[in-house]
Amino acid sequence: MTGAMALQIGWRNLWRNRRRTWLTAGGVAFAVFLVVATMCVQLGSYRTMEETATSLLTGHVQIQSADYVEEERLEDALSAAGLLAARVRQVEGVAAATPRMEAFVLASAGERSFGAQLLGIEPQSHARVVSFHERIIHGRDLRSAGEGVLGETLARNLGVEVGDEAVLLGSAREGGVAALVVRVVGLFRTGMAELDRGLLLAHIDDVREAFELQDRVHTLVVRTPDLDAVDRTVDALVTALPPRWPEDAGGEPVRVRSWQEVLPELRQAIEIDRISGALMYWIVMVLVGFSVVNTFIMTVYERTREFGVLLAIGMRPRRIMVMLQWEAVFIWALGTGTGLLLATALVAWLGRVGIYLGEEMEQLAREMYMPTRLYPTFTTEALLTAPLVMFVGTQLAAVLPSLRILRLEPATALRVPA
Amino acid sequence: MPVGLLVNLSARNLFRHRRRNAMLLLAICVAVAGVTVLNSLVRGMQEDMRDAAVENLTGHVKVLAPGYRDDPGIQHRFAPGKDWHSGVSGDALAGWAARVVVPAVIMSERETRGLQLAGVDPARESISFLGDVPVLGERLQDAGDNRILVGRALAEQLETDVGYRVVVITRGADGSTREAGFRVAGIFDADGTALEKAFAFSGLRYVQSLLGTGDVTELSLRLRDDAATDAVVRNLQARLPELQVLSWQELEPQAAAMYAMADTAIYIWFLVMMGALIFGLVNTLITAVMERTRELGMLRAVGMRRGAVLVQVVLESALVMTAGVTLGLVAGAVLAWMLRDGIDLSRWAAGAELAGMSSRLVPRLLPGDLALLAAMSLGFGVLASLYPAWRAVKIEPLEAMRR
Amino acid sequence: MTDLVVDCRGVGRIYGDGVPVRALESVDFQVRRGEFVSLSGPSGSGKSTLLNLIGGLDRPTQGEVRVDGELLNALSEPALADLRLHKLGFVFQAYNLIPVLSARENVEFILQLQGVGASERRRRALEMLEALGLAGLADRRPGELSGGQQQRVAIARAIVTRPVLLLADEPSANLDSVTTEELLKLLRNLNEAHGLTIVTATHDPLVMGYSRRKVKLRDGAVVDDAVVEPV
Repeated sequence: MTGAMALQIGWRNLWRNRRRTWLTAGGVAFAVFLVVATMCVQLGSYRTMEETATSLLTGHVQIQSADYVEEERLEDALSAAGLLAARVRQVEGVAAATPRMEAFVLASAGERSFGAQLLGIEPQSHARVVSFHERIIHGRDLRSAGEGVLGETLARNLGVEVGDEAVLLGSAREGGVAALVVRVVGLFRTGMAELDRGLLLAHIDDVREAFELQDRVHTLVVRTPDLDAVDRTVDALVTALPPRWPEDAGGEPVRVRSWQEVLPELRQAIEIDRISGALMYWIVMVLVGFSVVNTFIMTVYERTREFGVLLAIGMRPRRIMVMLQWEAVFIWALGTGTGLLLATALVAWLGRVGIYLGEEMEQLAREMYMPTRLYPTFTTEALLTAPLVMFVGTQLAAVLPSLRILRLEPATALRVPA
Repeated sequence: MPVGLLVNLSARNLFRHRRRNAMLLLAICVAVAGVTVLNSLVRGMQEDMRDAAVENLTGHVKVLAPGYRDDPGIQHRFAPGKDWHSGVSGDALAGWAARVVVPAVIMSERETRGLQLAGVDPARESISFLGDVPVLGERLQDAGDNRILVGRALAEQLETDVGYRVVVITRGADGSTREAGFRVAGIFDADGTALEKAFAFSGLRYVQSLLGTGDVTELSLRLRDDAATDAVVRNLQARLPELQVLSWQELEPQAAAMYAMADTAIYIWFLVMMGALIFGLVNTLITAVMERTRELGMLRAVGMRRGAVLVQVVLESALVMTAGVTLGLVAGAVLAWMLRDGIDLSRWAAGAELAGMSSRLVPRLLPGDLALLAAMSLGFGVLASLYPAWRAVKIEPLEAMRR
Repeated sequence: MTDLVVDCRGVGRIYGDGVPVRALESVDFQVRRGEFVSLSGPSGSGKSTLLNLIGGLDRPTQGEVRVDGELLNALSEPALADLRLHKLGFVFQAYNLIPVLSARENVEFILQLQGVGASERRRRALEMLEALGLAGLADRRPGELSGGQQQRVAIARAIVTRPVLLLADEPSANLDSVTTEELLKLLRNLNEAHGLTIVTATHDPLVMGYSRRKVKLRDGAVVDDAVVEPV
């Protein structure tokens, strides 16, 4: 028997028991559909989570003094900020970069005061790196010195509205009092309670002056063309930047971190979700594997007599096994084809309309950096994992029962009632 | 209907094709064991989330002055009556604590940070994480203790240590700014969670004197049974109409949403597993029916009713399911028991915290869940057998005459 | 109560929707109590169809079939099943024993279907097996019995309910001649000594030889009906 013949006979045999073939292929289709569709949703949601999280404030890459990363002390700011930013912007993969100052202040208005994190930003370049300005719900974005933007809750707690003034007090680099008065031009809402209650933005020039950090920078926030370019860009930045800045002996050690390092909780949450998802996929695929094994046990059992005839007329057991392997390939192809078709149709549709998580989930979603609608996307990983695993699975499932053929004596096989 | 005969026949048919029934049994077993373990992990996670939500100073029930949630400051304070909790039966109540929690700025010689200053009575804080959190240095002695307890992460930021001094600035009851120096009594280690940076603790009476009031900003109640929460809320609200009485679900809506989501997740898991199982189950049952066409025809020919044939196939499926479910539950329980020390999530601690979980996930088996799983699986087995049973019913008595 | 155990009048059976196949054409056929009738003829003659119609396994497209006075045409499916259970005994060409049950259980289960109590049905099944010379084999499963033994178990199953009529479809098809002869002696004994009415469809001359009345069919019609004295 030639290979082509084994293939043809395998295909015909498949249709001797249509119901069984479809039920078996149906199991494979179920697994492929489920795993592909959920992986598309999962991986798609990770991508949106990552984009939402990085575009809020974090950016894709952050450049800081290594001491600042460790200790978060005000004075550990990199100097010659302008020069550094210019160097960074020339590195390949850097789409935009913006300097940021960070300080803790006591924000007061009238009798009330609350502790808050102050970010000093350069409005024009900041908007090119992150889309925080889209979170303004009252008033407008920060434009020039003397202005401030507050979290919604913070403003309410302070009892200030757009147009009011707030006094910011902190300790400056040399230990003196840093004082700053800003006019509130806008209020933002991120949905993350901690930020809405404890964050405010002012112009970078004001912050530098008040905290005695002229021409210094705490964090250079970098945006890359897309998330896939982050690792490359980090490497490029590490190569392009000197280990200490400024380059003379007195410079501070420079640390380049990707968003994964800045937001470990996000990466970890994604990892946990990935693992629990993988657990489900594997169990489902193993279960379907069992069903395929069973189909082949039944097939081999029912055709014992037929195999006896083939053996009696001189066919090699190996050939019969090859024939059965072909049957497994066809079942896999039918199931995977159906499953992939259904999954891609569903994912394409959901990719357009999005999955609404429900009112209850909205707040939760925001806290988890998730958008309120999920848009699944196709990725190679999502599309290929289940089909490949199921291919190996069905082949194994067909081999196990057909090993029996090797031990089959033609005479005994022929005596089995048809 | 000859039930005894049908059970006997169904049971024996299970041993007709040992290999394939063993395979089917194994598949059911894996599915059920998988759902059991996952279920126990989800329950463990839920418990964790609720405990974390309840223990991080929330309690099952909290009493606040109206307006405190929007604007948590000393201006929203109240004086609890002496017997405010007399409406809650002692059996339901595990403990309660009165606190003053106000926004404050804490300064060391080097750094300044914002946080919540909580005045607590250490004797009453067995109801919160403070009761058993590991502390470097000393714990607070009593409600009059004028020292401060800070979190590890905060201490690192402030570059302070046990015995050092910090300055706390906050607003007094009269609206004026109050400033006070505290000696650091101890540093608490809350596994790196946000609690470490969010709270600093001092004696309740001392903080009250600093703020110039004898009032509190919250009463927190820990109950023995979570299920009693709603009843206690109603009860207290009726007694304290001018105050706000809130359950942990209202105070920690994220945790409550996660909790509710986990409930749904269990059902989704079950359906997915059973969905994967049904193809093999139906396939095997149909084959079992088809290869017995003549036998089933004979049974009909000698006078067995259609209904009895149907029951026979359904019973067969139910029996395989029962055997598989029993094995699966046992295997799942054993697996869960093997994981009794918990799964170490510390590699993902920050991510786990984002999802409201602690860094060690301990599975929890609830008898009610196991019973529900078993019942649902059996129902599923019956459902899966309906098509094969219908095929069996359609077999005519004439089939017995074939050949 | 009538003396006619089987009473077929103008019975016909047409199969198929497209090209109709007339398996049986307007046959009149009666069997009296205590008769041993063989239906014979080449395949397609209609002998099996007639047997199936008498057995209530198939319904005629024309005419009336009465068994023990009951008009089968009028019976619902469950009523027909009850009639088969209580009044008829079946012996099949392929024995049709249940492989997962022992010989005794194969005989017992039909009593179980009738709702007979456990101890009584056990007693009756064992008695019947003993009467048929299977006493020592009661606990064996069909797979552990020879063809002749299996067919005897099948007969035990068919008559343990004390049926009005025993229907046997090619009972000897899978047996050698020695075993067939033993089987036929058994059937004749049941007929003569216990007055059991037997109708068998067969193309085996040996079986015909043992019957007391030979009915020949061809192309769906009775062509010969002769009562002979036994050898």
